[in-house]
Amino acid sequence: MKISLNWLNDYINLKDISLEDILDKLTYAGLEVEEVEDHAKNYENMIVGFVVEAKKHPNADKLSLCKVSDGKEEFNVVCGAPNVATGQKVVFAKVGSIIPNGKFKIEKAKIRGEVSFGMLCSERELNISDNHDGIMVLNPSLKEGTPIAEALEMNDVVLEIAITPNRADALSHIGIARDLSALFNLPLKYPEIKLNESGKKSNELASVEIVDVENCPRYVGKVVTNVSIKESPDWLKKKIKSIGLRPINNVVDVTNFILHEVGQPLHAFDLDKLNGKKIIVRSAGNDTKFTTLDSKERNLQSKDLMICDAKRAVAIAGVMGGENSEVTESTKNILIESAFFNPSSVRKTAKNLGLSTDASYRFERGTDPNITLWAAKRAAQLIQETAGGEISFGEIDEYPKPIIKRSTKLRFSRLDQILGYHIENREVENILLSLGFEINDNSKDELNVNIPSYRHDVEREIDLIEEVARIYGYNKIPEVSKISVTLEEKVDHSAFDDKVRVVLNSLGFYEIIANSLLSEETANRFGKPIHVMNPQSSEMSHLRPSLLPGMLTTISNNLKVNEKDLQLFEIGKVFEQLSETKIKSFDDFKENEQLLLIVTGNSIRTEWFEKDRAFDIHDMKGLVSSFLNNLLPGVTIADNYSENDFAFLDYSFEIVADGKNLGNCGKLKKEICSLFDINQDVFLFQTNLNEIKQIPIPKKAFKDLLKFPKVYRDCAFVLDSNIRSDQVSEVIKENGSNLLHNVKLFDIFQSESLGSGKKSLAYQLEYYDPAKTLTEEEIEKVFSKTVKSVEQKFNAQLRGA
Amino acid sequence: VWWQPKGKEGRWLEVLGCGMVDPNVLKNVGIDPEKYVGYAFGMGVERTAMLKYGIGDIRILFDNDKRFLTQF
Repeated sequence: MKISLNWLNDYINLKDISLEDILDKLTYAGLEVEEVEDHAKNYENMIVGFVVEAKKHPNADKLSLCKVSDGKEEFNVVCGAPNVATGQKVVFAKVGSIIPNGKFKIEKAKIRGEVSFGMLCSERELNISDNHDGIMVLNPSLKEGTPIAEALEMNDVVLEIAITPNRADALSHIGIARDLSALFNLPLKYPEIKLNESGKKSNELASVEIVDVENCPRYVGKVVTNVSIKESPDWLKKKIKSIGLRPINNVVDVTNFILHEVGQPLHAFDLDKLNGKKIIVRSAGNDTKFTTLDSKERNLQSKDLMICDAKRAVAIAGVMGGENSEVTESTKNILIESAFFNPSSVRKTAKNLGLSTDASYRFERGTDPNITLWAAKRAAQLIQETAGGEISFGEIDEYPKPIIKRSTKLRFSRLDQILGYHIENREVENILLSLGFEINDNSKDELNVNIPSYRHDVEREIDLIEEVARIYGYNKIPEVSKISVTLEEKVDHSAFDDKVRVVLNSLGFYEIIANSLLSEETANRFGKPIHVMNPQSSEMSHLRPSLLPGMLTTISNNLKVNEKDLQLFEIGKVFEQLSETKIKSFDDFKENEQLLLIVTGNSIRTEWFEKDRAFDIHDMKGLVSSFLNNLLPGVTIADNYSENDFAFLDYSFEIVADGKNLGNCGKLKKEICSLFDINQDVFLFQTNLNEIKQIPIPKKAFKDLLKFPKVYRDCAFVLDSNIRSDQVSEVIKENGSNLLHNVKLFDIFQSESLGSGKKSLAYQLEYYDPAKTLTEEEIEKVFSKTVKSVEQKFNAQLRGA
Repeated sequence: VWWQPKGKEGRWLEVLGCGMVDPNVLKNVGIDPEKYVGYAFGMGVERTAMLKYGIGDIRILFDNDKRFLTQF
């Protein structure tokens, strides 16, 4: 919001306060100054000059050679204007200044053989008007040497202040001035109202009926008759322009002026266009369309609050007036509307219309119901001043249920407790008084305070404490350099998670962070998602039941930027609804910390020594067992082929630690991949971290080194292709005797030469006895028993026996 | 903090918000605000990381682009 410092000075005398101080104090009080436009800076090095002498340039017909004085020195200046003459007071732009229009810098120059130390300016060059017929001739009473910004009163400083949503009271010059008066202990001055009323009474010339009292608690109307609509006077245009608005005409400008002066939005109706000279405040009901004064047709909802006359709607309450009743050049009689509307009603209406106006912005945040009368009178006075006419006697004030004054108490001891610092009682009172609070009652222990009707953000004692602290200055509260805190020992879960990260990193995985909120459609595909009460958008309406969708989106995004080889993981919470109905207790849903690993693309990119090789399920299994062996040293990890028709996996392995199923590892179904535009294989491993954390790590104990050699035997079996190798190794282990310690598959061979539908599996069997060296016979005995059991079980044949 | 990169204009940068906990918050979790007061402060790690490493757009921290992930 823009605030003009010159305009502020109408309400508070800031002449002795430095700009620096004003900016600092405002910002620290919660009204953050984001930008400062120092207009005087635009006219730096430009002063009022006195033309000591102006004569024709010796070498140019159309130029003049002037001697210009700045009060101390005289300068030679070449000037091309036809109207320059001796004795004038002019705008002298010295060397080093920058001409506002065009932003060009003035340097010492030689013009047709004569040196010129500056330039005399026209109105256009100063951005004052389009006049460029000649130089600007100033009032002779101005003193040479005076900076132009000061002489022409173009020295305003305009602040851009970020007003937080709770400070509706600060959305105007008087609002800001009030905080400044508290911050600098200076008096706040409201403009005086002196009305020159005549003729009839307002309530004889117009009438108001509020049907919807809840949404319009107060409506004030005042009539001014016989006005002439024309351009506003200079002072009013200047004020309107100073904050970046466009002057329209005297009446409209007065209403805009008062909005920015005191924060009360006003509307002016052409009284003669109001049927029955009556205002009815009601909801739109069956009215569905309305044309606002910008000539746009708007769609109404039945609950929108409307201002109507005896026959039809004439304005959208608090948002925008209608074309059918607006003030035009021919308007003679005005009804001024100064009302208080229910903030949430205006907010809903404005939102539905997609409209935001200076008026609706303020009504939404809560205006002052008690300023309505003052503002209507102020408007009448200014309208008469600028547009002539007669102000009718009194006002129409429909205020059926006057809003009760709010009050709260402030205990000095509580103030001390919250701030940890004592502010003198007297000072506390002064701060509150200067902000407009009334002290009802005071004792040495507490104050009883009335809250002004414009402070919708203050309700309780703690709010008063905040006011005292921010005006006193948070910076003035001293620092405490030491505090003592008792620490409680808590189990640190993050250490485990960090270990997971380190191990995965070293295996080549990168961590991602994905959103825990998803759209309903996506979430539903992966489980029973929980609906969030106040979703930010339809894309973030449900809590994720799985880490998969976020990961798949990430893979998809990476594929789009040509990153196809990925090893990624995410550690995150997933949530699932357990109850059929609304969640009422912790038993109705579950929350788990999950880990998801994926690999996709090439495991090996083409190097000079080997070709591309894509990731496959064996890579994934290998990575998972490396990961778990590292995380759970000493724990037995096994993987079992799983027949579970997992919703998303083509095939999978159950990863088991110590007999506990940790999760599944497998290849993602193609249909799921295509949902995310992924056209390459994705292998994943999903596990519940909480479960892994609970697996006890066996204490390390030394195992004696083998004193005797291991013996190896190889065997290959030809059997049906559909027999799984783990089935065969199971049988080998079962029938291997206690001398067999390891079975390793080292070859798979498939060819028609073996017979159709057949394959060959080759195993290396490892035997040893910790107590002695094994003999050939002992090994042969157990080996042939093993071979026979395989042959029998699977109708297999030992190869090359 | 006062943020001033070498050779450039410095400016004040908000890095964290803090304040006294509203008594209503304490009351809602069963703590008597008359007996206890609280002080809270919080800082976004993203902003600090962006300043430290010169990352221009905060969204890059959440895009999970491999070309970003491999840089750290």
